[in-house]
Amino acid sequence: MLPNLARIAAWSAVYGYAIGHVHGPVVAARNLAKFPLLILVTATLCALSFHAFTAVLVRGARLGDVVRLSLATYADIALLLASLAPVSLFLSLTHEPPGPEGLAEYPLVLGVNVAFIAVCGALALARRTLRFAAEQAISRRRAAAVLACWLATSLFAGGQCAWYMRPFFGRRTEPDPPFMRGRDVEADGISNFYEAVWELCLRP
Amino acid sequence: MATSDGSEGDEGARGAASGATGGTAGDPGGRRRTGPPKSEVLRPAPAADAPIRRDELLSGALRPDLLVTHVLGSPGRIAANLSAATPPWGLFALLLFTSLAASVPFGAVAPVGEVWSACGLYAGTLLLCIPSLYVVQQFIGIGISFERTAGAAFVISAAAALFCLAFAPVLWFLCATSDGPGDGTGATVMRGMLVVAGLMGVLQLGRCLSRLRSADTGGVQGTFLLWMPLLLWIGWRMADVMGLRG
Repeated sequence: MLPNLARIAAWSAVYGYAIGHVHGPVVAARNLAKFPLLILVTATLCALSFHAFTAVLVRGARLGDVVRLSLATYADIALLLASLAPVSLFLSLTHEPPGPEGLAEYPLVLGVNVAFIAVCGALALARRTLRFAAEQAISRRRAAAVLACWLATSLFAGGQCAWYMRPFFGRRTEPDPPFMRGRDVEADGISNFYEAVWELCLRP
Repeated sequence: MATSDGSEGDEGARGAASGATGGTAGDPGGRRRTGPPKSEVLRPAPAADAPIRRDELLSGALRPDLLVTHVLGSPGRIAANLSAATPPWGLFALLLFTSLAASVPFGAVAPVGEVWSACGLYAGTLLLCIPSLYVVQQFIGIGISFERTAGAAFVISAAAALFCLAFAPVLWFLCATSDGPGDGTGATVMRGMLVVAGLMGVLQLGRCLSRLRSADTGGVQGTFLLWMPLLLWIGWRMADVMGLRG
């Protein structure tokens, strides 16, 4: 378990540092701690849910085993993200920053990084699904169902966790962003991740 | 025991695979690979259709992780307890204890209702509806004892309570990090979690009933199926009465 925790901390710090350069070195340095924290807090919050869903779908699943397996999956995601850190850093350093006229290429950088996270998550889950199915001698459908439940739970809890710990990127027009915005309400009245997603769906 | 979803087949195959080289099963092309470190692989489970022993039931009452294993991960074993010759009082007590205790943390962090609201929603609804199920079963000649009927029914509330326990950290975090206890999002998410937990409870009952071994298995399953709309409707009303529906 400890090696996987160390991997998550190291690899996700690398990626966090890269995306923080969208704003500058201060946010990047903060992300060295914040991004691993985001993943570890999400994993902690979701551990019991992971165990419950896995117990329903795979007989004999124990809490310790499930936690080890989920940490291994998170470590895979962190490693994949770290492999994209050079690309992300390059984008962060070279994008046209927001100014008084508008957001310029800031939404593009945000979108690309969200896509990176989605692709890495999907790849890691797909690989774990295949291995999990082989190890447990269960059908791939069942293994996929387990990991889909994990993904949904992670998104649900991790989204709010990321919202609470924002900003991970930060616009350069805001010279000194706080370490975490926490429960601060946004200018448009949005106070949590789910409201933000809802608003995004209503007004794409 | 054969089941409709083939899970027992899975379990049997797993037993065979556990003695083989790790990771060879399902490997395309029969390629031999070394497999992951042992720590990442779930340990083999006890026999799928062996009744849960008394000592396991007792240990489950002391360790919530074992409760999850017994209640959520062992539908075949619960069915074996329900089908056994001896009355399943131990199992019934464990399910009742789980129903009452496991949902308390969820109630404690929920932005709406009382500490015991989730427990009251699931266990209270069952207590109201079990008599009708038992009487109808006896009326139409299904020879199942009360403790077996109640034991099977309490699988719903026990599984739902365990899912509430599992969701409690996430709900707590959401409520702690959004705009206060009066915020609508926390209450909406809580209601969603209660619905998901309840449905998982019903699903778990279905898995247990599909593994029952008795002469009247079809009749038992049929009466539970017919009883389900009443249970869901009373549960809906109970949520209203307890102020959980908003």
